[in-house]
Amino acid sequence: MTKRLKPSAGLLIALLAASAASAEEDVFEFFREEAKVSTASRRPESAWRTPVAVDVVTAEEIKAYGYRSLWEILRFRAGMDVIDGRSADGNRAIVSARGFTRDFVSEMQVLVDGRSVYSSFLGGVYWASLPVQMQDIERVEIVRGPNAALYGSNAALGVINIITREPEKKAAGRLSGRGGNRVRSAAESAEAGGTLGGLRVSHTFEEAPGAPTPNGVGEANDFLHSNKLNLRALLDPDEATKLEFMGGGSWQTYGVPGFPVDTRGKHAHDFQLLRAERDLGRAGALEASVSRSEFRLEADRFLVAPVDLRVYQYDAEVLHRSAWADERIHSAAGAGWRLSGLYSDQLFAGRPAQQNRIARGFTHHSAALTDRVTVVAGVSLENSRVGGLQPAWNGAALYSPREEHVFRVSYARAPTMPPLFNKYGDFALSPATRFLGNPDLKPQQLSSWEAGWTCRALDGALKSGLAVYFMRLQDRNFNFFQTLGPPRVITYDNRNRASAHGVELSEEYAFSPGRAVFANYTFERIQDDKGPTDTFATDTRRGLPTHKFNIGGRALLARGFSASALLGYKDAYEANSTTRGTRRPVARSFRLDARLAWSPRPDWTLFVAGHDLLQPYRVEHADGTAVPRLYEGGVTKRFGL
Amino acid sequence: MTALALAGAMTASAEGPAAVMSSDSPPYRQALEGFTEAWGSSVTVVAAGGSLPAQAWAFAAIGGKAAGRRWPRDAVVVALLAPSVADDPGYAMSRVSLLPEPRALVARMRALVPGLRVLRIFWSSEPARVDAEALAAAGQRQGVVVLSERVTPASRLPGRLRSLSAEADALWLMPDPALVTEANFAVLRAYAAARKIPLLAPTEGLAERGATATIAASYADMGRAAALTLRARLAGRAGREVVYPERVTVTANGPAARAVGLKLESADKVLP
Repeated sequence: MTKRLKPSAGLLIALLAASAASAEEDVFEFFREEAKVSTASRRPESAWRTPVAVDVVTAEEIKAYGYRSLWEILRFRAGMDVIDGRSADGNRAIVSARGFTRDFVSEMQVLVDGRSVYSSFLGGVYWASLPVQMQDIERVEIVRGPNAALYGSNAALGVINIITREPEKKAAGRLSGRGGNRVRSAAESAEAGGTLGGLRVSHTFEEAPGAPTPNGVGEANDFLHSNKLNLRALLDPDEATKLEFMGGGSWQTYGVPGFPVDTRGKHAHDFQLLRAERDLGRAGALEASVSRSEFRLEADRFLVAPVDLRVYQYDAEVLHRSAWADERIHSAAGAGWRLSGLYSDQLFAGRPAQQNRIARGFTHHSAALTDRVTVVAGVSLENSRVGGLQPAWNGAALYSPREEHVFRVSYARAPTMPPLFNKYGDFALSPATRFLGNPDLKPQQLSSWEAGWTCRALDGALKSGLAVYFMRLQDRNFNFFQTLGPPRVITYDNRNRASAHGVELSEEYAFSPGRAVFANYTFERIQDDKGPTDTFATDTRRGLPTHKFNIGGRALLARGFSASALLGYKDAYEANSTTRGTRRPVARSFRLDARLAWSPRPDWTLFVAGHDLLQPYRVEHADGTAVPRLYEGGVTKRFGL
Repeated sequence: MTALALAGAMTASAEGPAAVMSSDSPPYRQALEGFTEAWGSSVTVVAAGGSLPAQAWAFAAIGGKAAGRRWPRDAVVVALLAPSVADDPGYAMSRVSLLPEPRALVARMRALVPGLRVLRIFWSSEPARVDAEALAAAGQRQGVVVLSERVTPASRLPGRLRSLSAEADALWLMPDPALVTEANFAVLRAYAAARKIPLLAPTEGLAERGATATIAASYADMGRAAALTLRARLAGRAGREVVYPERVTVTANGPAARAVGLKLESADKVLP
């Protein structure tokens, strides 16, 4: 086609008028046409309506509220139970969702960048020694309620996914230091990259005297020296492919409270993860990952005896995500394999090497039946040495009468594998007391019924959420005295059961950039029909606060200043330690944290903060850890902003 | 003026340049009209898939499909409305950006958004990198920190928005075809509305679709810029790789702009 045009005012006006009218009809048409020219395939994500209660804490909030640790991030969120306390093997926090707090919460699945950090030894997570640094976190996703159909066994009470940010594809760096009455720390990171990818190396050092004695006077040999080093490399060979390598480690020395100052333990935790993602265009996306991790524990005192332990884990997983039927159906299917094992002469006497192999397949689908109704279903089948063949499933229906409201009802069933110690352990704590695993121990089975509502009103500035649930936990795993001795033998069985119900309400309102407030309320109650056999007479009915609420706000002020405050309330409860066998009534309490920061320039930030300002110290766990009032200040300098 | 350029100018003067069109859709037609008007004499128009006129060696390639075609070895080409075409396709080509002149763009943003200190921009395809870097440099000169981030593939944009760590006073939607989709636009609108910050867009029609304001050069002005660039190249002046249209129109979506406190007096048009 060849034609010649002469400039003519009349023709010009007529053409422009016609063009303008057409352009008005679809302003995106031009970009669609140009997008066909470029090489990458693109598929916009449709809005994801979650069939479970989900909460997300962003890096912006972590920075604004000045959270100092992973469990502090979770403390003020709806439905979460977070306790500062020490377990016998050096864990420094207890984190659970919807109750059932104890030294190791084996029903919570915790992931770091999709990699499970759940320990197969006693169940649960060593929060303080996870090789992840606060400065690297992009967001933390909190899923409350069972999700084993997607994440596998042990995702019964919830899933916490800690996601670190990708490296910058340019030269950048960060230096920060903080110090206060009971903490000194320094963190550094350096990043580099270009068109093809990026690389980040980060390090954090922390030194803290820890908690004082339970009466708040003097040191309790609770010190912590910690170093964490992480590397993350990203390669984008083309616009549809992403290759990532992550590696890192955490090395800690800690004091064992209640023992002389030279009594200490060591944690060493390292990991490597290789992951590939490929966007297949209309065929969806494919992810594959392999990872390895190792955790070493050397303690002068584990309860009263010295212990050496090595725990290792190898994982491989492949996942395919797709959308079809005009994007009305979203599907995910995958398979995973895990080898986890441990070695300890003291804890597994006579049989020091123990292993568990898990093979798993799962599929999960969400289908929009109409513009208002979506149904979700997922199933997982898992075969393992410790649990045999275990199915898990969930189903949900979502109804959205208007765009800003979503109502949901859901049912889920999730197994929890017994930890290796409960199944195969043999630990002579003293000549008079021996822990003995039960090879016949079965997985716990948790069933959950839930109804919820989420709303985004006022142009998305107001976010509301409500969840009401009922859970039943069968074949509950608990310890009991097999013989009263001497020696006393403590072992485990499935004779217990429990049920729980609760309500979670959350509100968040964003006034403008950097100015937001939130409030949440949690009601939790457990009915525990535990029978007469529990060794430590643990009573989970009173083991958690019935009512909790949190409020918080953050604001960007004038001249580069910003401020934030958090206030939390917990009802009274009776704390109990499942590794020490101690119990302690905890009075109802308020907690207040506040922070003031000043950024004279975008690359500099100075801050002062106070944590737990309302009392000199607070005890919230059965071990008597006195959580002290903290003051601190610090400075951060960023490069290559 | 070199001999070759002089010869070229004479040839072009005799034959006129050719405009190669990706399609007959309205933006390309508007650009062609602007180009024809600024050129001031006859222009041969051919389709991207058609044969080029035998005598022509100066071309306006309107649209990515046209710009990406095979060109004669010594052709002088100015591409416009071709954001997906890489800067170095292997022959001498100038490109008229969809982005308004960066310094003027930042100046208009500062006039429009009170207290603008941090501007966040996203881009996805590699050719948009040059524009993103130019905008960042212009921002630096005017005291505005531009947080520039590549999101690839563009379908990751919702996820990135959920995890943003730094606050921004405004969002600028880069004219990157990989990114400018109905779905992404809806997500950006919701994100900006939730944080009460303005969403600024590069195409006037987006103000009617809910962008707080648009700062855009018209397609006809891009055509005019292409004609001036082509004349300069044929006259032997060193052709810039990337040309930014200098005439910019600010169109505010009245209700949305008032909600976030934009200075409406600095807008050229306010939609009711």
